[in-house]
Amino acid sequence: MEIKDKITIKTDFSDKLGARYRTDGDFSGQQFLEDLLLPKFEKAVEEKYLLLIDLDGVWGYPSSFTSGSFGKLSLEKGADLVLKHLTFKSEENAIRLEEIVNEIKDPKKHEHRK
Amino acid sequence: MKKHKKDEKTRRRFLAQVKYSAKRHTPRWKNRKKSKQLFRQNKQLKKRRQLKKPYLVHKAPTIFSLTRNTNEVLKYFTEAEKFMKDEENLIFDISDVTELTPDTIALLVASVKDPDFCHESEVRGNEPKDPYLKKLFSESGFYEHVNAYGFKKSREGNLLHKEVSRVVVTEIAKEASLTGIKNVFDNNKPYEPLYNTIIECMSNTNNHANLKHQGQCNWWLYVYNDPNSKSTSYSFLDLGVGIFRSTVMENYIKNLAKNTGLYKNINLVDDLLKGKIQSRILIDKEIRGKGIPEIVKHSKLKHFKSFYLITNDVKIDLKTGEKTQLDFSLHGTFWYWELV
Repeated sequence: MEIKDKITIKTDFSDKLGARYRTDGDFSGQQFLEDLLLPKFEKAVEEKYLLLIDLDGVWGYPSSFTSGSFGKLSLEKGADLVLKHLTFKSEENAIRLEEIVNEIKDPKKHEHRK
Repeated sequence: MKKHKKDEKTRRRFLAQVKYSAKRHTPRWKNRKKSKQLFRQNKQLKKRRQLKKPYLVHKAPTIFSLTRNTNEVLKYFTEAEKFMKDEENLIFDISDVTELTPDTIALLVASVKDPDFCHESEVRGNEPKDPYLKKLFSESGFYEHVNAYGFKKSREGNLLHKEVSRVVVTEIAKEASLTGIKNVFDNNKPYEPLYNTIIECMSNTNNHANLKHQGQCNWWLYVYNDPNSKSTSYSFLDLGVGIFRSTVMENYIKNLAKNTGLYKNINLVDDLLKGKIQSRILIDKEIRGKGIPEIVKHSKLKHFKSFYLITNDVKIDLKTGEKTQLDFSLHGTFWYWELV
């Protein structure tokens, strides 16, 4: 599949990511999911293309943000479909990328990963 | 047509005024006004009476460090609250302390600014006699949060922040991260585990501090750059109900034992650190509860030193996994770590 759309989190959303819910404060996982990720993801599924997520230039990815956005998307749409239409880029931090992919593969709570 | 509309508006306004005027002359209205006035007067009178009372000198332990002398410091604050509950005015006397750490300054300012801690009593305080500790105290930013003679500003690089809007504030998390990163690493590059830890602490407060209303609890963050060692200490605390009082166990039997008091908080530590106990929020249970395990994971990193969690009657050294049963409780949650 071809990459036809892109989300650069730093510029399209924020470089300071928050916690899980909108009620927690600004730039939450829920806000990112509902306002940005989900609409673009659904379009990518409908038109059968890949959506590139650029993870760089951000202060951090708190687990509650990752779980409230990518984890929640995976729980709702299924890990296979999400990984089929999302691709990630992080030149700064390979572990960060791996953790987000792991979150999508297994969004449910479990003893923390090594 | 226009004139008719205007007349109608005037008539409605007149009727509303008549109705309001009639309401103001009812006994119920008058009684309510009178009782409100009485309440205000009583409050003012009580305040005036309280101001005239003498102050009780409450001497702090010489090692005034929450992380190093936890039981003594918690005893000091427990006794202080008891005195003030009994309507005693109090002087927090820290003049003779020989050791003072930033974590205790954060606890002190959070406590004296908390109406639930001070009740209706008046509070005063002093500074350590020791010149080094006096400097540490006066430059901490403490005076920016209390009424004091001669305004003393915090030293550049220190950050003492009180959040009243009670939410996760990403701007503060960034500022606090940057303060430490500049001091310790001499650069401006993000250090993800630090930022993530601060956000998870805030989120934890927002979700666990108040049993009745989510998010209704102030939190404090104190970032202190130590001029002697190239390290930065972080103290994050809320004076809510504490993690153990706010959580429910996943296991029914353990939950029952916890509620009946048969199971001590210290026995729940392992489950807490693994994310097996969670807050009372019912939604997304299957994907929530990852914040504390993430903090635990980060605490093992070499750039974090002396990583502690104190909540209710338990102190946990996250670096070593050592847990201590405390003789006195902290009503809230306190996180402390050093970036090196």
